[in-house]
Amino acid sequence: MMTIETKRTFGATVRRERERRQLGLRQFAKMVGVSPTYQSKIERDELPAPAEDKVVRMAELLDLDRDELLALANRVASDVTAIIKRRPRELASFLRTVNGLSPSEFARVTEQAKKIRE
Amino acid sequence: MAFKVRYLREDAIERDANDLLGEYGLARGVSITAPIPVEHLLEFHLGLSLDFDNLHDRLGIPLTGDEPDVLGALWVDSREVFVDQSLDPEDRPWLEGRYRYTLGHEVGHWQLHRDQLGVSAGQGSLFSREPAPTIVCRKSQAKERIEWQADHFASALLMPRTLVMAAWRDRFGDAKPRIVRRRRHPLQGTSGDTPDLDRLLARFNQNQDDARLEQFARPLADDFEVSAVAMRIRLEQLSLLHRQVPRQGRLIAS
Repeated sequence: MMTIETKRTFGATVRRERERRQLGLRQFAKMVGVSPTYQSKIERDELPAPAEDKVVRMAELLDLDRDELLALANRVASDVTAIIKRRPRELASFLRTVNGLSPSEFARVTEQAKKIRE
Repeated sequence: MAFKVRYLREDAIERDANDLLGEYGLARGVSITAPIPVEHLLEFHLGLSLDFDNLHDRLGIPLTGDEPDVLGALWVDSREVFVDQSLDPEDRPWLEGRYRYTLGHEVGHWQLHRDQLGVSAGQGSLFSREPAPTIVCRKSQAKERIEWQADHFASALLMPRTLVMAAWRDRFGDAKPRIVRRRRHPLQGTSGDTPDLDRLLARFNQNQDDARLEQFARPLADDFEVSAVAMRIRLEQLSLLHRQVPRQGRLIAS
Protein backbone atom coordinates (compact mmCIF):
# COMPACT_ATOMS: atom_id res chain seq x y z
CA MET A 1 0.00 0.00 0.00
CA MET A 2 1.39 3.34 -1.08
CA THR A 3 0.92 6.33 1.13
CA ILE A 4 0.55 9.78 -0.28
CA GLU A 5 3.83 11.48 0.34
CA THR A 6 3.46 14.93 -1.17
CA LYS A 7 0.67 16.97 0.35
CA ARG A 8 -1.10 18.25 -2.69
CA THR A 9 -4.61 18.74 -3.93
CA PHE A 10 -6.96 15.87 -4.65
CA GLY A 11 -6.94 16.35 -8.40
CA ALA A 12 -3.18 16.76 -8.77
CA THR A 13 -2.60 13.67 -6.63
CA VAL A 14 -4.93 11.53 -8.69
CA ARG A 15 -3.40 12.74 -11.93
CA ARG A 16 0.17 12.19 -10.76
CA GLU A 17 -0.54 8.68 -9.50
CA ARG A 18 -2.59 7.78 -12.58
CA GLU A 19 0.14 8.90 -14.93
CA ARG A 20 2.77 7.10 -12.88
CA ARG A 21 0.83 3.88 -13.51
CA GLN A 22 0.45 4.70 -17.21
CA LEU A 23 -3.32 4.66 -17.03
CA GLY A 24 -4.83 6.86 -19.72
CA LEU A 25 -7.38 9.54 -18.80
CA ARG A 26 -10.19 7.86 -20.70
CA GLN A 27 -9.29 4.36 -19.57
CA PHE A 28 -9.15 5.46 -15.94
CA ALA A 29 -12.41 7.42 -16.18
CA LYS A 30 -14.06 4.30 -17.53
CA MET A 31 -12.72 2.19 -14.66
CA VAL A 32 -14.05 4.73 -12.16
CA GLY A 33 -17.36 5.07 -13.95
CA VAL A 34 -17.26 8.74 -14.94
CA SER A 35 -16.84 10.56 -18.26
CA PRO A 36 -13.36 11.58 -19.43
CA THR A 37 -14.47 15.24 -19.39
CA TYR A 38 -15.52 14.99 -15.74
CA GLN A 39 -12.33 13.14 -14.80
CA SER A 40 -10.25 15.77 -16.59
CA LYS A 41 -11.91 18.62 -14.68
CA ILE A 42 -11.58 16.84 -11.35
CA GLU A 43 -7.89 16.19 -11.93
CA ARG A 44 -7.38 19.87 -12.72
CA ASP A 45 -9.22 20.72 -9.48
CA GLU A 46 -11.69 22.74 -11.52
CA LEU A 47 -14.57 20.70 -10.11
CA PRO A 48 -14.92 19.50 -6.52
CA ALA A 49 -13.89 15.92 -5.77
CA PRO A 50 -16.57 13.35 -6.59
CA ALA A 51 -18.75 11.32 -4.24
CA GLU A 52 -17.18 9.01 -1.68
CA ASP A 53 -17.65 5.79 -3.67
CA LYS A 54 -15.80 7.28 -6.64
CA VAL A 55 -12.97 8.53 -4.45
CA VAL A 56 -12.68 5.09 -2.85
CA ARG A 57 -12.69 3.47 -6.27
CA MET A 58 -9.87 5.78 -7.40
CA ALA A 59 -7.88 4.95 -4.28
CA GLU A 60 -8.29 1.23 -4.98
CA LEU A 61 -7.28 1.59 -8.63
CA LEU A 62 -4.25 3.69 -7.73
CA ASP A 63 -3.31 1.62 -4.69
CA LEU A 64 -3.56 4.66 -2.42
CA ASP A 65 -4.82 4.82 1.15
CA ARG A 66 -8.55 5.48 0.88
CA ASP A 67 -8.77 7.60 4.01
CA GLU A 68 -5.89 9.80 2.95
CA LEU A 69 -7.42 10.29 -0.48
CA LEU A 70 -10.81 11.00 1.11
CA ALA A 71 -9.17 13.62 3.32
CA LEU A 72 -7.69 15.28 0.23
CA ALA A 73 -11.23 15.26 -1.15
CA ASN A 74 -12.39 17.02 2.04
CA ARG A 75 -14.35 13.98 3.12
CA VAL A 76 -14.37 11.48 5.92
CA ALA A 77 -15.34 7.89 5.15
CA SER A 78 -19.02 7.35 5.93
CA ASP A 79 -18.24 4.33 8.13
CA VAL A 80 -15.96 6.53 10.27
CA THR A 81 -18.66 9.20 10.58
CA ALA A 82 -21.14 6.49 11.59
CA ILE A 83 -18.77 5.21 14.30
CA ILE A 84 -18.40 8.70 15.73
CA LYS A 85 -22.15 9.27 15.64
CA ARG A 86 -22.76 6.07 17.62
CA ARG A 87 -20.41 7.10 20.48
CA PRO A 88 -20.11 10.88 20.06
CA ARG A 89 -18.93 11.79 23.58
CA GLU A 90 -16.33 9.08 24.00
CA LEU A 91 -14.97 9.38 20.48
CA ALA A 92 -14.84 13.17 20.42
CA SER A 93 -13.02 13.14 23.73
CA PHE A 94 -10.68 10.39 22.51
CA LEU A 95 -9.90 12.20 19.26
CA ARG A 96 -9.18 15.44 21.12
CA THR A 97 -6.85 13.56 23.41
CA VAL A 98 -4.86 11.84 20.69
CA ASN A 99 -4.83 14.88 18.43
CA GLY A 100 -1.25 16.03 17.90
CA LEU A 101 0.45 12.75 18.77
CA SER A 102 3.37 11.71 16.60
CA PRO A 103 2.99 8.74 14.21
CA SER A 104 4.94 6.48 16.57
CA GLU A 105 2.81 7.53 19.54
CA PHE A 106 -0.28 6.84 17.47
CA ALA A 107 1.06 3.40 16.70
CA ARG A 108 1.48 2.74 20.43
CA VAL A 109 -2.07 3.88 21.21
CA THR A 110 -3.44 1.67 18.42
CA GLU A 111 -1.38 -1.25 19.72
CA GLN A 112 -2.79 -0.76 23.22
CA ALA A 113 -6.35 -0.55 21.89
CA LYS A 114 -5.84 -3.82 20.00
CA LYS A 115 -4.62 -5.53 23.19
CA ILE A 116 -7.66 -4.27 25.10
CA ARG A 117 -9.98 -5.68 22.42
CA GLU A 118 -8.29 -9.06 22.64
CA MET B 1 -4.02 32.75 -36.28
CA ALA B 2 -1.83 31.85 -39.16
CA PHE B 3 1.66 30.88 -38.16
CA LYS B 4 4.18 30.83 -40.92
CA VAL B 5 5.52 27.32 -40.90
CA ARG B 6 7.84 25.96 -43.53
CA TYR B 7 6.52 24.09 -46.49
CA LEU B 8 6.54 20.31 -46.12
CA ARG B 9 5.96 17.84 -48.89
CA GLU B 10 3.17 15.33 -48.36
CA ASP B 11 5.61 12.43 -48.49
CA ALA B 12 7.78 14.06 -45.81
CA ILE B 13 4.76 14.33 -43.49
CA GLU B 14 3.84 10.76 -44.33
CA ARG B 15 7.37 9.64 -43.43
CA ASP B 16 7.32 11.54 -40.12
CA ALA B 17 4.04 9.88 -39.14
CA ASN B 18 5.41 6.47 -40.06
CA ASP B 19 8.63 7.07 -38.14
CA LEU B 20 6.63 7.98 -35.06
CA LEU B 21 4.58 4.77 -35.33
CA GLY B 22 7.79 2.80 -35.81
CA GLU B 23 9.34 4.34 -32.69
CA TYR B 24 6.19 3.69 -30.71
CA GLY B 25 6.07 0.06 -31.80
CA LEU B 26 9.73 -0.41 -30.95
CA ALA B 27 9.47 1.28 -27.55
CA ARG B 28 6.40 -0.75 -26.62
CA GLY B 29 7.49 -3.99 -28.26
CA VAL B 30 4.25 -4.20 -30.21
CA SER B 31 3.44 -4.41 -33.88
CA ILE B 32 1.27 -1.60 -35.13
CA THR B 33 -2.21 -2.66 -36.23
CA ALA B 34 -5.47 -0.83 -36.80
CA PRO B 35 -6.93 0.94 -34.94
CA ILE B 36 -3.82 2.99 -34.14
CA PRO B 37 -3.58 3.54 -30.35
CA VAL B 38 -3.34 7.30 -30.76
CA GLU B 39 -4.51 8.11 -27.23
CA HIS B 40 -1.82 5.94 -25.64
CA LEU B 41 0.79 7.25 -28.04
CA LEU B 42 -0.05 10.84 -27.13
CA GLU B 43 -0.21 10.31 -23.38
CA PHE B 44 2.57 7.83 -22.75
CA HIS B 45 4.91 7.76 -25.72
CA LEU B 46 5.03 11.52 -26.21
CA GLY B 47 4.24 12.28 -22.57
CA LEU B 48 1.58 14.90 -23.32
CA SER B 49 -1.27 15.36 -20.88
CA LEU B 50 -4.77 15.05 -22.26
CA ASP B 51 -7.71 17.12 -21.06
CA PHE B 52 -11.25 17.99 -22.06
CA ASP B 53 -12.94 21.31 -21.64
CA ASN B 54 -15.25 23.77 -23.32
CA LEU B 55 -12.50 25.41 -25.32
CA HIS B 56 -14.50 28.43 -26.39
CA ASP B 57 -15.08 29.27 -22.71
CA ARG B 58 -11.56 28.36 -21.67
CA LEU B 59 -9.90 30.45 -24.33
CA GLY B 60 -12.43 33.25 -24.28
CA ILE B 61 -13.32 32.78 -27.94
CA PRO B 62 -16.99 33.62 -28.62
CA LEU B 63 -19.02 30.80 -30.09
CA THR B 64 -20.53 31.65 -33.45
CA GLY B 65 -23.05 29.17 -34.79
CA ASP B 66 -24.33 25.98 -33.17
CA GLU B 67 -21.19 23.89 -33.26
CA PRO B 68 -17.86 24.68 -31.60
CA ASP B 69 -15.24 25.96 -34.01
CA VAL B 70 -12.31 25.31 -31.67
CA LEU B 71 -11.76 21.56 -31.39
CA GLY B 72 -8.27 21.31 -29.99
CA ALA B 73 -5.41 23.28 -28.52
CA LEU B 74 -1.80 22.56 -27.75
CA TRP B 75 0.43 24.12 -25.12
CA VAL B 76 3.96 23.24 -26.18
CA ASP B 77 5.81 24.44 -23.04
CA SER B 78 3.63 22.58 -20.57
CA ARG B 79 3.05 19.63 -22.92
CA GLU B 80 -0.73 19.87 -22.68
CA VAL B 81 -3.35 18.88 -25.23
CA PHE B 82 -6.94 19.99 -24.75
CA VAL B 83 -9.82 18.60 -26.76
CA ASP B 84 -13.20 20.31 -26.84
CA GLN B 85 -15.64 18.44 -24.63
CA SER B 86 -18.14 18.25 -27.49
CA LEU B 87 -15.86 15.48 -28.78
CA ASP B 88 -15.86 13.45 -25.52
CA PRO B 89 -15.94 9.95 -27.03
CA GLU B 90 -17.70 8.36 -24.06
CA ASP B 91 -20.45 10.98 -23.98
CA ARG B 92 -20.78 10.93 -27.76
CA PRO B 93 -19.53 7.58 -29.05
CA TRP B 94 -20.57 8.41 -32.60
CA LEU B 95 -17.84 11.06 -32.66
CA GLU B 96 -15.07 8.58 -31.83
CA GLY B 97 -13.54 9.03 -35.27
CA ARG B 98 -13.49 12.81 -35.05
CA TYR B 99 -12.08 12.66 -31.54
CA ARG B 100 -9.25 10.39 -32.64
CA TYR B 101 -8.58 12.58 -35.65
CA THR B 102 -8.29 15.60 -33.37
CA LEU B 103 -5.72 13.74 -31.25
CA GLY B 104 -3.80 12.77 -34.39
CA HIS B 105 -3.95 16.38 -35.50
CA GLU B 106 -2.50 17.66 -32.20
CA VAL B 107 0.21 14.99 -32.34
CA GLY B 108 0.93 16.34 -35.82
CA HIS B 109 1.44 19.86 -34.47
CA TRP B 110 3.66 18.48 -31.74
CA GLN B 111 5.81 16.51 -34.16
CA LEU B 112 5.94 18.94 -37.07
CA HIS B 113 5.63 22.39 -35.56
CA ARG B 114 6.75 22.58 -31.96
CA ASP B 115 10.31 23.56 -32.90
CA GLN B 116 9.13 26.20 -35.34
CA LEU B 117 6.91 28.05 -32.91
CA GLY B 118 8.08 30.50 -30.33
CA VAL B 119 7.33 30.03 -26.66
CA SER B 120 3.60 30.45 -26.02
CA ALA B 121 3.12 32.39 -29.21
CA GLY B 122 -0.63 31.80 -29.07
CA GLN B 123 -3.26 34.44 -29.11
CA GLY B 124 -4.10 36.01 -25.79
CA SER B 125 -6.48 34.35 -23.42
CA LEU B 126 -9.05 36.24 -21.42
CA PHE B 127 -7.82 34.38 -18.37
CA SER B 128 -4.46 36.03 -18.22
CA ARG B 129 -3.39 33.94 -15.22
CA GLU B 130 -3.06 31.03 -17.59
CA PRO B 131 -0.58 31.02 -20.41
CA ALA B 132 -2.20 31.10 -23.84
CA PRO B 133 -1.97 27.96 -25.93
CA THR B 134 0.75 27.71 -28.53
CA ILE B 135 -1.69 26.51 -31.17
CA VAL B 136 -5.47 26.81 -31.26
CA CYS B 137 -7.08 24.56 -33.87
CA ARG B 138 -10.23 25.92 -35.46
CA LYS B 139 -12.35 24.22 -38.08
CA SER B 140 -12.72 27.56 -39.85
CA GLN B 141 -8.95 27.74 -40.34
CA ALA B 142 -8.47 24.22 -41.72
CA LYS B 143 -7.04 25.62 -44.94
CA GLU B 144 -4.09 27.35 -43.27
CA ARG B 145 -0.81 25.63 -44.08
CA ILE B 146 -0.10 24.74 -40.43
CA GLU B 147 -3.55 23.19 -40.04
CA TRP B 148 -3.39 21.40 -43.37
CA GLN B 149 -0.05 19.84 -42.41
CA ALA B 150 -1.41 18.64 -39.07
CA ASP B 151 -4.46 17.19 -40.84
CA HIS B 152 -2.29 15.32 -43.28
CA PHE B 153 -0.19 14.02 -40.40
CA ALA B 154 -3.33 12.82 -38.59
CA SER B 155 -4.49 11.07 -41.72
CA ALA B 156 -1.15 9.31 -42.24
CA LEU B 157 -0.85 8.43 -38.55
CA LEU B 158 -4.33 6.97 -38.14
CA MET B 159 -4.47 5.39 -41.60
CA PRO B 160 -0.91 4.36 -42.47
CA ARG B 161 -0.51 3.60 -46.16
CA THR B 162 0.72 0.03 -45.66
CA LEU B 163 -2.09 -0.86 -43.24
CA VAL B 164 -4.75 0.67 -45.46
CA MET B 165 -3.38 -1.16 -48.50
CA ALA B 166 -3.37 -4.42 -46.52
CA ALA B 167 -6.93 -3.85 -45.31
CA TRP B 168 -7.97 -3.08 -48.87
CA ARG B 169 -6.42 -6.31 -50.15
CA ASP B 170 -8.11 -8.26 -47.35
CA ARG B 171 -11.45 -6.83 -48.31
CA PHE B 172 -11.22 -6.99 -52.09
CA GLY B 173 -8.59 -9.62 -52.74
CA ASP B 174 -6.48 -7.23 -54.82
CA ALA B 175 -4.88 -3.81 -54.64
CA LYS B 176 -6.73 -2.32 -57.59
CA PRO B 177 -8.59 0.95 -57.25
CA ARG B 178 -12.38 1.08 -57.34
CA ILE B 179 -14.74 3.59 -58.87
CA VAL B 180 -17.89 4.45 -57.04
CA ARG B 181 -20.58 5.50 -59.47
CA ARG B 182 -23.26 8.04 -58.89
CA ARG B 183 -26.55 6.61 -57.80
CA ARG B 184 -28.49 8.92 -60.07
CA HIS B 185 -27.76 11.56 -62.63
CA PRO B 186 -26.32 14.78 -61.28
CA LEU B 187 -28.66 17.73 -61.29
CA GLN B 188 -28.03 19.93 -64.31
CA GLY B 189 -27.14 23.57 -64.02
CA THR B 190 -28.64 26.44 -65.99
CA SER B 191 -25.62 26.95 -68.26
CA GLY B 192 -24.57 30.06 -66.46
CA ASP B 193 -27.88 31.95 -66.47
CA THR B 194 -28.14 31.84 -62.68
CA PRO B 195 -24.65 31.42 -61.28
CA ASP B 196 -25.83 31.15 -57.66
CA LEU B 197 -28.14 28.29 -58.48
CA ASP B 198 -25.41 26.61 -60.51
CA ARG B 199 -23.04 26.81 -57.58
CA LEU B 200 -25.69 25.38 -55.28
CA LEU B 201 -26.35 22.50 -57.67
CA ALA B 202 -22.65 21.83 -58.09
CA ARG B 203 -22.26 21.65 -54.33
CA PHE B 204 -25.29 19.39 -54.05
CA ASN B 205 -23.86 17.01 -56.66
CA GLN B 206 -20.49 17.06 -54.93
CA ASN B 207 -22.11 16.20 -51.59
CA GLN B 208 -24.06 13.37 -53.20
CA ASP B 209 -20.86 11.95 -54.64
CA ASP B 210 -19.02 12.34 -51.33
CA ALA B 211 -21.83 10.53 -49.52
CA ARG B 212 -21.67 7.61 -51.95
CA LEU B 213 -17.93 7.32 -51.53
CA GLU B 214 -18.22 7.57 -47.76
CA GLN B 215 -20.76 4.79 -47.69
CA PHE B 216 -18.22 2.72 -49.59
CA ALA B 217 -15.40 3.72 -47.21
CA ARG B 218 -17.39 3.01 -44.03
CA PRO B 219 -16.26 -0.60 -43.33
CA LEU B 220 -12.61 0.42 -43.58
CA ALA B 221 -13.33 3.53 -41.50
CA ASP B 222 -14.76 1.27 -38.79
CA ASP B 223 -11.63 -0.93 -38.84
CA PHE B 224 -9.41 2.11 -38.32
CA GLU B 225 -11.83 3.92 -35.97
CA VAL B 226 -11.89 7.03 -38.10
CA SER B 227 -14.85 8.84 -39.63
CA ALA B 228 -16.10 7.77 -43.03
CA VAL B 229 -15.18 11.23 -44.30
CA ALA B 230 -11.56 10.84 -43.16
CA MET B 231 -11.30 7.39 -44.72
CA ARG B 232 -12.88 8.56 -47.97
CA ILE B 233 -10.34 11.36 -48.22
CA ARG B 234 -7.48 8.99 -47.42
CA LEU B 235 -8.61 6.40 -49.98
CA GLU B 236 -8.87 9.08 -52.66
CA GLN B 237 -5.44 10.35 -51.68
CA LEU B 238 -3.99 6.85 -51.97
CA SER B 239 -5.71 6.56 -55.39
CA LEU B 240 -7.70 3.57 -54.24
CA LEU B 241 -11.04 5.25 -54.64
CA HIS B 242 -12.14 7.25 -57.66
CA ARG B 243 -15.23 9.17 -58.52
CA GLN B 244 -14.63 9.21 -62.22
CA VAL B 245 -12.75 7.09 -64.70
CA PRO B 246 -9.17 8.27 -64.99
CA ARG B 247 -7.77 8.54 -68.48
CA GLN B 248 -5.31 5.72 -67.95
CA GLY B 249 -5.13 2.51 -65.97
CA ARG B 250 -7.55 -0.30 -65.38
CA LEU B 251 -10.26 0.18 -62.85
CA ILE B 252 -13.00 -2.03 -61.60
CA ALA B 253 -16.42 -0.52 -61.20
CA SER B 254 -18.17 -1.39 -57.99
